Amino acid sequence: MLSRRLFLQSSSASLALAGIPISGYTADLPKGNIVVIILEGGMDGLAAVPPIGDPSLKKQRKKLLANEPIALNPFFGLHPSLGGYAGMLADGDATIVHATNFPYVKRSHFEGQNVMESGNMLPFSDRTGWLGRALDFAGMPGRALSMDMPLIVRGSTELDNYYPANLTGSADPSPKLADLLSSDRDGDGAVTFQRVSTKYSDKPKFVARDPVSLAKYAGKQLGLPEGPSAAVLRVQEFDTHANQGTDWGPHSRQLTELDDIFLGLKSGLKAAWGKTVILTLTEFGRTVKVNGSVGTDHGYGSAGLMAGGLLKKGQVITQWPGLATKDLFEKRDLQSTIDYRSVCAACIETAYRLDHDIVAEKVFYEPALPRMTDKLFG
Amino acid sequence: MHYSLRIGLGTDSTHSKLQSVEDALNQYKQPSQYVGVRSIKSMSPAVEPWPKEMLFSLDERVAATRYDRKTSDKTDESTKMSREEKDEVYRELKLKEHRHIDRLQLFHQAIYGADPARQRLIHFWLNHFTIGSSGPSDFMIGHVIHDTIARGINGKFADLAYDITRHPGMLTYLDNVYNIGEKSVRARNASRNEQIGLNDNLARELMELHTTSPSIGYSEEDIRQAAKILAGWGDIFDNPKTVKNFKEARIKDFHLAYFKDKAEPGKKTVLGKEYPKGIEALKLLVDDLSISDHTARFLTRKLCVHFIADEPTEQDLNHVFSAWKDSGGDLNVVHEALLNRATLSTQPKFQWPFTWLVTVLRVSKAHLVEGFDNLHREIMHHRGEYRARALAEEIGQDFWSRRQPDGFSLQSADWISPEHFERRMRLAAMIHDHGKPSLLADDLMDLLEVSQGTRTLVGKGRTNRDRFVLLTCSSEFMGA
Repeated sequence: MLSRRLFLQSSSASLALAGIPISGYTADLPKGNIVVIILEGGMDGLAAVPPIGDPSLKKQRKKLLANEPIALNPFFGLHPSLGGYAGMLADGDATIVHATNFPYVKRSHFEGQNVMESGNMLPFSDRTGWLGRALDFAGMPGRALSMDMPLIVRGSTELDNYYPANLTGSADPSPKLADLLSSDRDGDGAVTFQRVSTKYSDKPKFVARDPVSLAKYAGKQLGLPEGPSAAVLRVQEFDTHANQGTDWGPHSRQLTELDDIFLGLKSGLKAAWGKTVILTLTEFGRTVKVNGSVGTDHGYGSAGLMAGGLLKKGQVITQWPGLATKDLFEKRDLQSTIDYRSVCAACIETAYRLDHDIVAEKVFYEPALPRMTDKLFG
Repeated sequence: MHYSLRIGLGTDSTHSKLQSVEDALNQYKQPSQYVGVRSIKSMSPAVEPWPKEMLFSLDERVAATRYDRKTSDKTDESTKMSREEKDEVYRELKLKEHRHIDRLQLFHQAIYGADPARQRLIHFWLNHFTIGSSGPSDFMIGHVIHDTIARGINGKFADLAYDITRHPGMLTYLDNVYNIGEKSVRARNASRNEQIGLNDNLARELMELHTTSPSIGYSEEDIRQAAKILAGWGDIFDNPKTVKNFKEARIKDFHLAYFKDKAEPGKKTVLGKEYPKGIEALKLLVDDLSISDHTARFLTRKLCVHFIADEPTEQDLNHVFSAWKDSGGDLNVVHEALLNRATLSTQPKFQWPFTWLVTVLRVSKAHLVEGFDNLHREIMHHRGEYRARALAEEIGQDFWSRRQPDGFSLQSADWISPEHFERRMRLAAMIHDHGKPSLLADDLMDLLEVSQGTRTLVGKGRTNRDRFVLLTCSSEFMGA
């Protein structure tokens, strides 16, 4: 039985799909897929991928360590809730990048989320997102699947979205009226009503809104010959300030959801798994020390979880900074020694066949961004 | 776009003519009666006073939260309960769904109330001081609307900020109930296995989102010190019998849930200013943050963006900023200045989905949100899907949803998507088909004094239904 408490805590996920080619237009493009899973709230990389070989871990994290991590190698373990993902690692289809993040150090959720979605280090200065810009450069117009249009895929004016209504007693809008409403305005508003019209010209199918259904649906859509090339899934509530939990508890529940999403994507993608890369994003990691309420506060470095057939092999990539207090960023947070923008850039280069220099300069505005493609992709 | 849509919800306190500036100002100055309709089944439902038993005091809300916590612990942890006993507990819990009643009340007051302009302000401030759903805070949001904001918007911003910061809803939502001084009595007496210390969640958002914004340039240490000042403002939902010093905490009105034994001793320094130990420090801190120019600028901008335009002019910003500075953040003065600028503006202003929905219902005199007499039946029989809740969720703007403390976006770009626009069309048609509107498109165009362009657009509709959809989804009505 689903208890009331669990019901209250079951989180909402949402999905956006983008980069659906116009028929005939991009048929000859070598199409790979990028799936971004946004872990909102600040995911604790030390709980998800604990560095069990670091002697400081136990000292700093006694109250929040999973008792039975899955051993990956002598130095790193994996939280027991990520069993499905561990299987992908064993198959050589997953890579973890640790002690990494976007170089944003001010610990605000809202600035941090804006930076990781826009790809612009100056918060709130960009109206487009890095994945949207990448899709533009790759010549792929987009379509999204969520109520809102996530910043990360904004860029192209060709964006569309889909999140089926669930209103008893309502009828589908008429394309004709949507055309008229489109003619009544300019710019984004006009384009947006045009999309409504197109959509209702052929009747859309209903998709359940739970995370696993969304992940499977996303996988299937990405696998279609003329399907989208990007998907964005959002999982909320990684902001575990209090009672974060160990083998079980709130953080573990979130990781289970993440694990289900990885598995759902894989089962939906089928053969397209081979040309797909999935990566997680989070605005920051969490403090190394446990706080006063058996939780952790906003930090800096975290871990990025990647999966998909495009990856070279099962591995953990890190330049481990250490967990002794003297090694921490501002004596409190895990350092980020790898710029996660390099990881995102490598995914774009590989999946969309764009040149590193273009991605670095035009998508991330950082011409000197280090290239990581050869480490991640074979 | 007529300014009545910008400053109010279309029609004024009489429900028959457009919101005027004078009437809006009167509404700003004093609360009006809470009203609603009993049932929407009849042809023309009468507007009646909102039932007293559906407005809850803070004491009742705290009691319900305690009860909820106790029973949900019981159902979570006890495997010995029989099926019948569990059902009984759930039935009782259902009766305590304050949030559904509060949500319904918010809808009814906006649609039927004599103070639509004031309601618009309340929605703005409710969003500025966002309290999302998270267990106990669900029970508290209604109290913040009826009490803290309803009173606070006629006073100084500093007092409103202080009252919300120490409101049990906010203390719970932003984890301050876990914020305990590292050198407090509680921490010193704690056993080795107990994890006790600071939690800076509320301190950070108090500065970043509620008052100064990051533009003031605070450091992590400033946030830490503010968290120390906040330590002790605690969890009134615990059973008084199990909490030591509950009496000593002087919890008479629940706004004083200050637990001395959890407070951090000693002086604290935030943004270069020293604060004494004890309960008084929080008021001093919030006063100092509130009086800052950074707060005035940040809040002025938010108000102008919400009521005037995505990109307000310098003149708009300066006008409201001066009112804020000259009055020391007196919201009566600030709101009046804002109202005057909003009335003058000719820029389009995109309306929130919630604002749009209640405006359509209000101006067309339609009834789509269930009456208060049907609430109980609704909760019990509609598979947990309550009509007001379904409407709020489907337009993507439920004030009782789980969400981040930065609240709903004020920028139109965040609301422009095919699915959002699709919902507007769907709901407009639904209001026409099922809401029995007294005013159809032709009457509404006269009432709202719409432009020739909008008349031409609406004229292209062949049926009343099409014309209703075209008008309510026109760029003039939606603001985009």
